[in-house]
Amino acid sequence: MALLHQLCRRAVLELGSSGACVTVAGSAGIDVIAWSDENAKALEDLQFVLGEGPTGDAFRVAQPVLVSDLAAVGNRWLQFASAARSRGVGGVYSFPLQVGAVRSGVLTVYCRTGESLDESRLRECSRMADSIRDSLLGALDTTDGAREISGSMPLRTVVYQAQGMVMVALDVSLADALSRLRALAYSEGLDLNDLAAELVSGRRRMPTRDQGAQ
Amino acid sequence: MISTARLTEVFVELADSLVADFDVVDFLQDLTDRAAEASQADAVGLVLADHQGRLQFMAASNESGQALELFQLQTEQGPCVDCFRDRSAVVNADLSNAIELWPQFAPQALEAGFQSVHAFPMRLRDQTIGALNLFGTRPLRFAAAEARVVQALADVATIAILQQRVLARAEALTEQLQGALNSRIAIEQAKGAIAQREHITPDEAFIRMRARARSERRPLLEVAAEALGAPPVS
Repeated sequence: MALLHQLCRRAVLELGSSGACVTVAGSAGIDVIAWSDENAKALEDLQFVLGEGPTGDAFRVAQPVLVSDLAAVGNRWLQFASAARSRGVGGVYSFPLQVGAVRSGVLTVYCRTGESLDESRLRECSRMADSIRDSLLGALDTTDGAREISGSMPLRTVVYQAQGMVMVALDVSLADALSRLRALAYSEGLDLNDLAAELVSGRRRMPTRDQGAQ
Repeated sequence: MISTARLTEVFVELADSLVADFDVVDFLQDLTDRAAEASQADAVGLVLADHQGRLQFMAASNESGQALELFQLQTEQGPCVDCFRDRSAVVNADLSNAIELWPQFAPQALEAGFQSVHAFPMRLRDQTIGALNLFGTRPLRFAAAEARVVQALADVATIAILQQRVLARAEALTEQLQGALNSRIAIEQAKGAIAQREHITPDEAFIRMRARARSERRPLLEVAAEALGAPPVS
């Protein structure tokens, strides 16, 4: 969605941040719909891969999740905080795109270590979230809008395919299958995307029931 | 005009009904009842414009109110028609002096026993969505302060309705997006499930899904959903 991508890039410029992404919630978790650059997109994907992070939290609690220093989040998002910090991220600010109780997605803004958003930039961010929300709804409010927009989203097809495979192989629910994949990736120090690719291509055998079990 | 204490309660009651399970018809019914109570009008009616800008009857405090509204809409004349068109209130109108203005409506209303009429626009900034009508069987005169109270009731209702429309639209559009996205996801998950079950690649699984959908004349998504819900082969 070209307009949303532009708005993400504008968010980066006007806020002096390092990246911005817009995500929406699907049945398997958050999916990226627009991004300012590849690094921001990779950070958002990291939240999905690890199954934790401010974007998902902001969507779930329908409130902004504002972190000015990832080093000070204590036990929250242990894996994501450490991985993001090692990529030079210091602050993360997630704003739900919502009208009343209706949540359409999340805008997440990333800042480099040592940089953060002050009060007035946070207010600006909140306004941008509303404007992005309105642009998204406006784009959906056209014939076939939903199908075109969802069709243009990059989908982690390999992970979803692996999810289906594990669901059958281990006789568990889809949600459990994804958890198992994440746990297995973590225990072997693999990226979820890479693990999924290995399973789908047949280069690696399906996990057994005890592997990756919680 | 009712007491300030009761009026405060009326506004709180109206606000309360905006919270959960908002039903626009119930809400507007309540509003006409409250407006009748607050103003001591003998009949209150409310009309809203549909998405093509045509006024439709929505609620009334009693049958007379309903009849008066319907008659205005049928004849396309009357205080609520003028009020909506001009986006301004009609206050303290004496029906016996309004025969030239509303040649069909005024005599009918007089015959039904009404003498005075007021209409308040349901308006927020540049949007006028309808009108609230008050009728008296005796000369019902509002001082400026009383007219403001009734206008405030109309304003609260307008805000509620407009907000509800915004929410309903956002909800519908978001559901469409999620539905479309989830369909794509389900198809990928089903490719994996079928691949695992039938010992083929996901691409081959997709070919089989499409063939199945075609031969069984079912939507692809249905074939996918079935693959995800079916028990696995051990």
